[in-house]
Amino acid sequence: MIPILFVAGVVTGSLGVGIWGVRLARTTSDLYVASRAISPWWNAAAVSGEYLSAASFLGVAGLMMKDGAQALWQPVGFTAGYLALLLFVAAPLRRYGAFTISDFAEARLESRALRLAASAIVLGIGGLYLVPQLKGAGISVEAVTGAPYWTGIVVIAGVVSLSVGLGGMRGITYVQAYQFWVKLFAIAAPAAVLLVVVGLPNRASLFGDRFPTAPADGLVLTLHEPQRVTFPAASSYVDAHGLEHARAGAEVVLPVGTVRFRPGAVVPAAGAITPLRGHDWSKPVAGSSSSSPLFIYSLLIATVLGTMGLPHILVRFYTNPDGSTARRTTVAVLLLLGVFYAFPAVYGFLGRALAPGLYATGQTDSVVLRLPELAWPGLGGRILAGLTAAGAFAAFISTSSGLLVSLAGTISHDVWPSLSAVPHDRTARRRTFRLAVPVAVVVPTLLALTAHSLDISVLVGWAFALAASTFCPLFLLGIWWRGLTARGAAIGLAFGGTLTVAAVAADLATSSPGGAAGALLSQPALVTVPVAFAAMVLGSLFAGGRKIDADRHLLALHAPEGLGLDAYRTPDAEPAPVAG
Amino acid sequence: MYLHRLVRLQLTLAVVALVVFAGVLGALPLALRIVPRLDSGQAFGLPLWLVFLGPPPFAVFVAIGVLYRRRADALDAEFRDLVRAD
Repeated sequence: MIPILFVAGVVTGSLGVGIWGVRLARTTSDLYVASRAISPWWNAAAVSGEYLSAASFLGVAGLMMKDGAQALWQPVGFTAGYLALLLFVAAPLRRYGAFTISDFAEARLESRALRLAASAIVLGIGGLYLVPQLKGAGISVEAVTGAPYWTGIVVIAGVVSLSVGLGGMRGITYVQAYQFWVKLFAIAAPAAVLLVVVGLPNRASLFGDRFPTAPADGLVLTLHEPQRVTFPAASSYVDAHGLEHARAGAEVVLPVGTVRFRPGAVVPAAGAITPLRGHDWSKPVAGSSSSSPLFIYSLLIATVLGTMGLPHILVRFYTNPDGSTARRTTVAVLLLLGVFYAFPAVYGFLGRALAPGLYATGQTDSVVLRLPELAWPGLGGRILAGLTAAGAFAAFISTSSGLLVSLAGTISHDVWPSLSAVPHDRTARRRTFRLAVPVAVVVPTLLALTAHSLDISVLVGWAFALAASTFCPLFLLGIWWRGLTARGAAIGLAFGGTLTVAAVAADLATSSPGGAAGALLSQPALVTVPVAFAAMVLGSLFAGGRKIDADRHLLALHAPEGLGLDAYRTPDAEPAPVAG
Repeated sequence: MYLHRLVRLQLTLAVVALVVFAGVLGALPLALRIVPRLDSGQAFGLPLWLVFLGPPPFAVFVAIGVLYRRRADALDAEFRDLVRAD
């Protein structure tokens, strides 16, 4: 009951801020002027609000509990991505005035075909990124209400489609900024209170040689279906009839009903989880495939270079009045994200020590939602759980509506006009946008329904890898190198995109081969990014094709504002439904 | 042409910042793997690596960001003055 109240509070709060923002925009002469009044700090909170998704709010802590400290490379990469964005993309892109990736591709390389190629990749990245958001919705509703996994997915997909289709909450900077502060409070406050109430956890199971063990007052699991688990060491459990079963290193099916573990007993782990001893769990770098240096470098490359290619993030920079404020905004984002990412690790540590039952049920991905009540039974824990649930809802509603706007905008703005011969006026465009919303949401929803056992963080890692191997070279070379040609860019996009998709498909299809090959299949960016860069450069140099007068574009990208050189810029196109 | 100079200077600045930041970030996983003291050492009762993966990287990112922004804006301002002086 309490969590539902909190979630309802966050949603009504967003609506309230949205209405207030619309009124504010209406009193000024136009939206562009309104956006000029927004300071870099508001913009930065809005960017962070849109960026902090289920992967950051739930996924990092979940992956840390499951795989250990190596999960902490992820937030480092997620944040460092904005440094790369700051250094190479933020100011020039703002000056250029193209705010969807497809716009940039078409304008910079003067090619309609490249616009379509870029649009196809936007659909891929956006779709891949939407799946884990919906999965987050599924496990959150599961954790909060006990309803089955699919309920949350279907409900959130419906709610978000409706709000995006009606042109609701999204597009207003203030709503996204508000969501950021909700998320920060919802992850920071429960973590701080829990640390005060339960204290620092037992160090032996975190850093010592112990497997996860039942906490000091024992562990009770309530199972609704039989659960297949593995005991990593000798242990025992008591079933619903009070019979004690001793097990060592064997696979066991735990029966339906209550299962008890005595204090200190080793807790088994569900099928997909490899139980780890404390000193292995707490190693940030180790030898095995998902914590090998190779995997970590690949992940860092994907996240650092992929952030600039996320379609829903780039449109946010539109509300910066000029290139210099775009830089200020990005620096502020670095600070805000740094503060936020101090907290997921707390849930990872406390989760291992105080909620080891999640290993047995395979629900580590929902540790942020379930930890407060498990660690601190009673009203206090319930209130904290309500807070984290509200934060989780803010996380996947803000990110998935941003993604859905980008997806539907791409379908209605880029894909559909090239398929239909009917000329498009404003009303027709708005209608196709509305029709595109359900089209865009269907495939990710179906994928999310089947992705129950895949980690949120892993799914998001693939979206980043795809963005890093396609749009990162497009931006870096397009902004800084006059020699890029449309044909070269197309070749690079094709190579990077195909290789990444092939690696991910191979990783899904085969049981992980382990070693270097396994690491690179599950996070291919280390290979695919250099290949994409090389293909783009070589294609531009040797594949021939039309040459572009690059100086005009470089002037538009790099000349500071206020010199009367703006005439060279691409005229502000009719704002796509994304802008605002 | 001034613009070519500006683009070259901005790119140099960005690459220098990238090298600094990639150097710090890139050295970290290997350092944690190779230097055993970092792997098993302790500080304030916590493993030492936690100190390296906790707040410090984020502080370094912000510091590089602030310094870069100042320098990049200064380059823009110089370019503006040059064009206006013409």
